[in-house]
Amino acid sequence: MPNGFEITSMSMEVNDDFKAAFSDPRRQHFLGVIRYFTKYLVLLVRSFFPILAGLAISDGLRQYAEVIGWGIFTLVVVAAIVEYWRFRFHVENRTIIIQKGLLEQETITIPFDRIQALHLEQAPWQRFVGLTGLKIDTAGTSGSEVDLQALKIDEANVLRDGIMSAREESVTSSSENEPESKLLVHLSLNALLKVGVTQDHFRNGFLAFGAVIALYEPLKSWIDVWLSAVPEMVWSVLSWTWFLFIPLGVFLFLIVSFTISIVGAFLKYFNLRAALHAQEISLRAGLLRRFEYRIPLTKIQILEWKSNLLRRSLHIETLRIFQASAQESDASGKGLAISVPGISQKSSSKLVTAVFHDQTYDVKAEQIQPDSYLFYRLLITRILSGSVLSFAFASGWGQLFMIGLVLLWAFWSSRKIFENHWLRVTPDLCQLHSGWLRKKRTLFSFYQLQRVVFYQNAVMRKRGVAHITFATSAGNRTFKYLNETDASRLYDWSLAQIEQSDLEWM
Amino acid sequence: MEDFQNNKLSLDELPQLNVLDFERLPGRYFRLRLWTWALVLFLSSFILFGGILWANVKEDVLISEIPAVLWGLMTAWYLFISLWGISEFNGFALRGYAMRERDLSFRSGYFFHAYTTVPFNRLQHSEISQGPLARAVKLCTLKIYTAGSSGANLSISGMDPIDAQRIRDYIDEHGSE
Repeated sequence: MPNGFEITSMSMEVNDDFKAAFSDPRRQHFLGVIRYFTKYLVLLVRSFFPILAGLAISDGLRQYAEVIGWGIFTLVVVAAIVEYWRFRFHVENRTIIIQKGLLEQETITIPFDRIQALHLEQAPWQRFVGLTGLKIDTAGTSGSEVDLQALKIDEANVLRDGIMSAREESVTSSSENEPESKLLVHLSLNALLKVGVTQDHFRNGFLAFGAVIALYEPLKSWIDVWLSAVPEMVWSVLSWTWFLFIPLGVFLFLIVSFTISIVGAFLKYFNLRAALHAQEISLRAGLLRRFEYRIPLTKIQILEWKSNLLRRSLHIETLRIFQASAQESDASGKGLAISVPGISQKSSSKLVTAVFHDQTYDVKAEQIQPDSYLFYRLLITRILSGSVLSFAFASGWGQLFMIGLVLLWAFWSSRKIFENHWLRVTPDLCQLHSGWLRKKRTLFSFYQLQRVVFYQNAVMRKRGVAHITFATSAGNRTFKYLNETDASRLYDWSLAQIEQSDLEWM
Repeated sequence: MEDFQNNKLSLDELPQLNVLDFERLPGRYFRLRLWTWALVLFLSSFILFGGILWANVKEDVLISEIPAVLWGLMTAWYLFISLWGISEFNGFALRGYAMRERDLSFRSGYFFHAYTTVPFNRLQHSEISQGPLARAVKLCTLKIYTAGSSGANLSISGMDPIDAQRIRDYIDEHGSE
């Protein structure tokens, strides 16, 4: 075996296990076939859905149904076994090499240094047979994300730890293995309930509603058959009385939303444990589908806390951790961010010290307010949209009352949003604050920025106001409606910080 | 991290990105943009008025019979064209790049003005591209990429190829070590 793998400080037995187990090309656990089987089955059913639906209806074809069914089944089984058989992986010279492909042989090589993170993910079937999936997250610009679907749990751990420690050795020379880890969040049943209850139920409800609509399309034929069985009488009655069902519908929607979001939280965050280690942060959770994520601290670019009124009253927030990526991070930041619900203030500050260690957080902070332009802008848009409402709804005294109410609400909410929109800068770190009922704060360090953008439209230029966008490798964050001088100060400051720093930004 | 020494810098000593630092792009790029604008104006007018004339003469549609919506759309189109023209005429002076020892900035836009700076130590790679039209008038586009997004983060079109190459050479020499 070539050198480059001789890392002295790596704990010896891990190293040996790791080398021994993965130096030769090998396959996954045989039960990985199950995964490929379902994959191809779903693929076939999805792409030939119209034909299958036609089969069910046409009598001429139905007699061959059994033959066709067996044909598809054998095809899928053969494809699954072939794919399983041709999927081989091994570790060589600080690279993981994967050979795969159903028809064409494809070789993927991933150097350890390009691996961003390794995630263990365990679906219910994998848990049942004692296997786990390992997802390799790379910083590649090509979508070369690789999944190992069926590894024994201890094997997966050896592989994961082996890669991670080899990778970290190359990055830093500090060699302490297994230092004490600090628990950041552990959601007990009680805490889980808190998180579940304080969720945004409306949003979850609408998401579920959307899912129902999306499901309607593929299941259309069955639903139509079912609906046509309903007697004509019912429809004629319904056409007169449908409006009676509106309150019932709203009530049902609320109940369903609430239940869905609670159940969702339980499934997703069950027994959640987030811990801070010397070099990385780990998160694991899940009831049916389990996952375990680890993010190296150096890859973390942005920390973002969100909280609503209910959560604040319970002193918990949701933290999202954004890590570096060479790829486009869309608005949702999906795939790059992990979220830690129910984190306390204390744990948050522990994490902040760990991620941005030596960089100052509390000293010499300067708070920068947005320009009053923002306030007037908010006020005007609110008055305009509110006045439309007030004209539509009432007349006479009622209208006057409505106008008064709208004005009051417009003033109050604009004031509150304006007051909560600010930016806190220390020499090293920048923290953006926004939101009134639903608060959000974002923390990143200046030196990790990739570029800065200063934006003004014609009106803003006249008023001396500007937006400033801080671009990190995990997405952009914009602070809007700053005073022009503040904005250019921040602009120059960020650039000076980036250009002076010779630290690795990831 | 002791040699970081950020705290020493006071804001007044900080290098500032000055408006005067920006260099304009070559005049032929200005002319190219104006020609594009004029061509769009001419072609769209030709089609619109030609169409109306054709309808009037061949199909005997009276001018008064033309629906108001069409007039509205035409007005909107000409409003858009004139705004575009204003931003081209006045905006060119605001379009330019500034090269400093450690970063490259680009600004553009009249109604929507923005400037972006990319520090060289965050640069992933750079690219010079040149379409057939650009080749004909000896212009090119310099694109600079950083991490965290798929497109170019700084794209300066209408540069003189020699200047662009010079900047690239400088970046290669002094860029990310």
